[in-house]
Amino acid sequence: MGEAVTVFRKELRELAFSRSAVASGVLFAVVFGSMYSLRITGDMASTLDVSLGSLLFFLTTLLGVFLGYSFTSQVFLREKTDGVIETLLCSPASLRGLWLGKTLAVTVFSHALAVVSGVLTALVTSARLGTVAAPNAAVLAYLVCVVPLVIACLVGALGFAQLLLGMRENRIIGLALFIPIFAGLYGLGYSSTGTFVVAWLHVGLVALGAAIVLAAIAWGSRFLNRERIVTTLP
Amino acid sequence: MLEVKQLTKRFGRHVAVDNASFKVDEGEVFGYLGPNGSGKTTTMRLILGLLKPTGGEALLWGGRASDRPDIRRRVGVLLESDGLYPRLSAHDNLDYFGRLYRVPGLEARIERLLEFAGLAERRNDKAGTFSRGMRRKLGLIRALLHSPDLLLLDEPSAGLDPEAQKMVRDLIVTLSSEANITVFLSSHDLDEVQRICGRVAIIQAGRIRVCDTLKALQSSSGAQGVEFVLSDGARLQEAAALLTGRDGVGAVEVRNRSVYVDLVQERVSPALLALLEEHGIGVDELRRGKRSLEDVYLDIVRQEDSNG
Repeated sequence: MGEAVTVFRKELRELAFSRSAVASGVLFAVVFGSMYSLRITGDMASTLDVSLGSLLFFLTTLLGVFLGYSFTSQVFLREKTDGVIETLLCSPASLRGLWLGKTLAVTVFSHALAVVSGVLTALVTSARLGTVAAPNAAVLAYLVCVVPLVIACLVGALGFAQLLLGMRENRIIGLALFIPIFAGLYGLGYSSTGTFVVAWLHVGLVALGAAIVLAAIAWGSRFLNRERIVTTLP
Repeated sequence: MLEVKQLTKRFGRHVAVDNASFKVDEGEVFGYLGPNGSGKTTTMRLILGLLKPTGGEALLWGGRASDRPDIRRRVGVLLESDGLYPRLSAHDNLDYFGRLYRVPGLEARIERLLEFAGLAERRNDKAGTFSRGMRRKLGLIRALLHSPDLLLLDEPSAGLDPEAQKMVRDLIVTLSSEANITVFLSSHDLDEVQRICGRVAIIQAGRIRVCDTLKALQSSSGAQGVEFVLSDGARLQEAAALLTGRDGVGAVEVRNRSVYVDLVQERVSPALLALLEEHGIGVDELRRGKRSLEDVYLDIVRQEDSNG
């Protein structure tokens, strides 16, 4: 566990000090936040708590997944292209510890950016409509507990694939996995923001699904092996 | 401490390492030589547990590095890649690896090593801004950070200036003689290997062709040689040109103050001496010459090429 913490701290620090990571996070938060925010119109002011709840529900998920996807390459794949991974594999650290530390770092950073962006978007939307409203407890629980689970699913799976596959396969898998997920989330969020009522049932279902997928990936991480990583170096 | 027993690695139909066997003892500096693609890197990866052998085994202190973190903790590596994060500073690179290896008194150790390598003033600069030589030095002190018992080095002085190359060579010799650290050195630099290694293995096309002490390799190889030590060091090239291509003469090599000549016929040296003196080139000393590692290496590699 100690090695996972060491890896987590290093990766988180590197992401936080990466100007390109922070800039891309801010840019996408502004773009998607504006698109979703404009779905909430003046006639929804009376039910603003519901509208903001749906905005936060979809926007933070979308941003979390998008940022998680882009940061995963910086943390997992770049280590292969730089060749550092080979030296790292010679250290006493276990492969699972390395994978876990990296997955957690990307998840925490993406989650933080997604939630801050979501909350700022909700505040701007409230100000635009001249009303203040707080989303319900289910939405808050979703933001705090479920969004990181969803991000961790994607990051864990992508990181796993990036360690084990060659560069070309990674590009194919990355796009094949990411485009449908992102397009689906975006379409669903865009059509439902403002009207969808977030209930505990929705939160529970997403949490359950994410927990099952995450457990499966964590179990699969025992099949990571050094030879596969070394023989797929570019 | 390092025992390689009938080690074989196949990738599909390609045999990268074929039935290799050798031992490296504690405190020894062992040179591992071979042309590009001969299986050097694959052997190192097998020793480090980064690849699984198809046959045989590579043991470090009786165990396999792949499933023993305690063994990996005792090994320092500098591979072809420097093993550095270009976006982290020199200090942070060392700090990260130090924590992974749980180095006690890490901060003081980092400062000492940065000072030693002459990188203390650039401790906060990103490794990606360093020259190739500086990165190599930083990679080397990263490998030494946790005070390993065994150092596996792949071309450690590649890209270094002559002064830094000497520093690396001196460091390796000091580590071996004073700290009793074992060094496994894979290199193309035959001069470097000749200066610091006690024993050498030459691998070609995945097979170990020879594995012996330098002394034994230099004395056992076929041709004998003589060395003409000239009184005028400025005429070395002229002397070499005169001797090249003469009857009974093989390879001719210019050394520090002398010209070394491989003799195909033993009795030819008085005639060569007379030839030099005829051209006014004074010879202070004529001695039986030791073959350089380069001659031995090229003989073995060329012989195998022609057989293959």
